[in-house]
Amino acid sequence: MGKREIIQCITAAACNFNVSGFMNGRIFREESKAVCVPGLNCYSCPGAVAACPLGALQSACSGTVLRIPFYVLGTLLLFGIIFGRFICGWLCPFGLIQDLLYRIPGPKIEHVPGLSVLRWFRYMIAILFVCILPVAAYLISGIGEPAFCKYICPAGTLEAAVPLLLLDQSLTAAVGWITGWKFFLLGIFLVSMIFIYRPFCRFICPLGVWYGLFNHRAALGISVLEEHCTHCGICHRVCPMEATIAGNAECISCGKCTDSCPSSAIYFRNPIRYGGPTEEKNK
Amino acid sequence: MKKIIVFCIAVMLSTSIMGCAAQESSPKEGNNSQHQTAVNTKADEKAPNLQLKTLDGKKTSVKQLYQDKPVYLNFWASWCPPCVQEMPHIEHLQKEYGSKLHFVAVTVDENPSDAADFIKKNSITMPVYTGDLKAITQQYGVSAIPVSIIIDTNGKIIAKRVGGMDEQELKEFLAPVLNK
Amino acid sequence: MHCKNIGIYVLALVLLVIGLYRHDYIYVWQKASTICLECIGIG
Repeated sequence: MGKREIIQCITAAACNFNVSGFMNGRIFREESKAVCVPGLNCYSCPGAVAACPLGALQSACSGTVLRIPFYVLGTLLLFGIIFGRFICGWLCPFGLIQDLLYRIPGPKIEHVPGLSVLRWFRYMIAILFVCILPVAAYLISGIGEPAFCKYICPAGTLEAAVPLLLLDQSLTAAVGWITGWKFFLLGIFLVSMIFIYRPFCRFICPLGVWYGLFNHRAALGISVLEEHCTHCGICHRVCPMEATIAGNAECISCGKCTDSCPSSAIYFRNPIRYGGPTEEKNK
Repeated sequence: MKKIIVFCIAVMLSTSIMGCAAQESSPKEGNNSQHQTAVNTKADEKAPNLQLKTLDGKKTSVKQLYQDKPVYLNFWASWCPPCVQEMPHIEHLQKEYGSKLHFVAVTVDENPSDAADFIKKNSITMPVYTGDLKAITQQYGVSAIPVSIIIDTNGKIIAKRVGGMDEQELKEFLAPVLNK
Repeated sequence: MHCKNIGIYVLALVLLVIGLYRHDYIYVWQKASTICLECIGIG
């Protein structure tokens, strides 16, 4: 188990520290729920001790009062500029679930021509389900909807709906067609995660879209020394996210490319000595 | 390869079936006393005496209310879409059956003025209450909303249900007290 | 540090301060501590 996997496990455990919630089916209600974690972790998970940033963002448009979510936007901006998609690779509990499922032996679908075009789908999902639909629902019916959480998010289904339905029989009274649809979607995601590396991160996740915008300038992340880069494409070939070049908006800073580059052009940005490769790399 | 395909189909089917089975087995009838609830209280238990206050400041309590008529208690919030979707149905039934039972909508909004704005915008005339949110959580154990509870004149909880309801479902839920 | 990055840090802090001043965190808390069933796909 590498450093990244250990940090992922620690983060996932820290985000879901309310173990008693998994025994009694009650969700955590302390003040820490006012703070957003950087990754995707449904706040209705019985173990969750903090808020999901995507859920918190959508809740601003949820119900009958529309609010500009200054606090959540500020938090997301700060996470973005500090971490970028480093969060996806190192700090996201749902990313960990996908990494673990991908370890299940079986044929892996990699570098299939045309599959990477699907990465544009997540931009559509982000714009439609996070930005447009919640506000449109509010303008049309007077009731905003957290459209991504309600219709798509598999993290909510897996981390919240599944344990809550198992632990609390009375919730089954509320089950309807949305539950059937979300479980069907969850099934597709879970199966695809065995064969495709992080399909949710690559093709669906709106949080990754946001953090990806900061990947080039975040304090943490992967950079390429242009003067050393020979455009050989090896980083693209070894990249599990199939990023066209290391450190772009698809990159989750897993670090697989840093050792593979024959020109030692790829490095982890060091936030302490900001902007340059580490001394180790320079040797 | 065949084993993997079979495995995939099995996982997809089982998760779909799990979702559909939950839908099939969901108890739609009002009295679900066999089930443990997302509300701390169980059916046939005495209803905790929650202190309530209307949005314009009038004080009362659950105990005071069920002295003369059964109480339909609904916990809701203005930010909860299924809650606000069922409010007009509750309002309609309150106009029809308000003489037979108290319709008590208790908002769990942190900011009661959000609830007040919703009430005003949608011309809700039934009394809407607020209360100590910690007491609501502790005494009634409300962790999911909306929650509907029926309390009889002896203070006993006779039915409860988690989740939004349309008018027909609400009528069926209230049938135990409406038909008396 | 790049000027743009400093600008983004400042903007993030400004948004956070405005959000804290308006008590936005309370609304985050209330949504995160009470399950809205439809929001997690039970409905």
